[in-house]
Amino acid sequence: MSIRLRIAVLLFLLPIVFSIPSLAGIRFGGVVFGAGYSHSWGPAYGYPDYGFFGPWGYGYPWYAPFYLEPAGDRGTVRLKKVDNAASVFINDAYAGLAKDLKTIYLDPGAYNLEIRSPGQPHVQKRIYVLSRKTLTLEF
Amino acid sequence: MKKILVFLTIGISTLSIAQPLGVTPRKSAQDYPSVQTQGDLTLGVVQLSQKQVRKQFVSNLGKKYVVVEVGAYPKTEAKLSRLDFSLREAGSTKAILPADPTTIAAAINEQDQKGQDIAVRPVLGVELSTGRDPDDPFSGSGKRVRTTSGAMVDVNSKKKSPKASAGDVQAMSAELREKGLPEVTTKTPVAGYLYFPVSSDKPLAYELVYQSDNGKTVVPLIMPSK
Repeated sequence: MSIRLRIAVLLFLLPIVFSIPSLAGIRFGGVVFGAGYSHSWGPAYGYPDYGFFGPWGYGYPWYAPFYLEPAGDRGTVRLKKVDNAASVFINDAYAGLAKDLKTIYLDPGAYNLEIRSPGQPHVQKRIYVLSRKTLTLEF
Repeated sequence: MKKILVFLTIGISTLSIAQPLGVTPRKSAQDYPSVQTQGDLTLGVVQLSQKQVRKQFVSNLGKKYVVVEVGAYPKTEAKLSRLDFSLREAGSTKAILPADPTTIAAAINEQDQKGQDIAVRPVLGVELSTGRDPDDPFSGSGKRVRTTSGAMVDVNSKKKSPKASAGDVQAMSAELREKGLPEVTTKTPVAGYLYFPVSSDKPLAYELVYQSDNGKTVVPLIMPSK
């Protein structure tokens, strides 16, 4: 398979993998990236290309994959329909601009979340964050 | 002396903020599906459906609790206590008292940690290979880039770390307490939820019983649609 075709298949599969609805007890826990380098394996002349040497679960010289799981034991708060220029305050402390905080990872607990948009009345919400759970807030 | 007074004022105002808040009461008791008046106190009551419970609460109350929203509309000062309320199956005399939020939070947390947590992760890989295969005299040399994709399934115990577990209990307890019916002496309308532990998963017809110094009032609850 040519590289272009492989990339096309990869790009085609990604949205499918991400769009699979999560079933009870199943969650999507981040993404695994892997990269490897081999000095001895090259394109074998006259042999079919049937090796599957992923960069995970395979010994030297492949390197351990990088697990991207930003939330971990934290909870995730997603802010939707919020003005990009709005300021976000968590427990009265400035957290940043809404454009940079579409997704916030917080330790489990109860928080006061306040959105201060220029020229708009402030919106305050009491939120309860649980580990490994996502809370979506619309403003 | 002035300093002490200032500190006392701050302390009292902090305490009053920390009081359970409940939820915003509806405009009038008649906005609730079930209404009953006892003396100078009118109660508006509604039983939440499973869907409403899932939407209103982050805590996973499931089917183990019947959640009832109570709006209290006093004409004169009234003292409200959660333990003045009880739930019973229609036609039964067995009373179920509302559960304490901290106890509910601990029970939910324990339940949530049972079983397996299945995590599905998309996997992306990029491989670069160069050189020749020393075991294969016919192999050529060169470079090759190979991309792979797939999905990795991680099956782990749902057991949380002690920190996450304690944090979850604290968050759920705070949510259930703060949204619960405030235990206050009030002249103004207040509203909040009561959580009654039930043993049956099946939807049953319930009645809310309010017992005060003025007597007993029974409010039949309308069974919610799913």
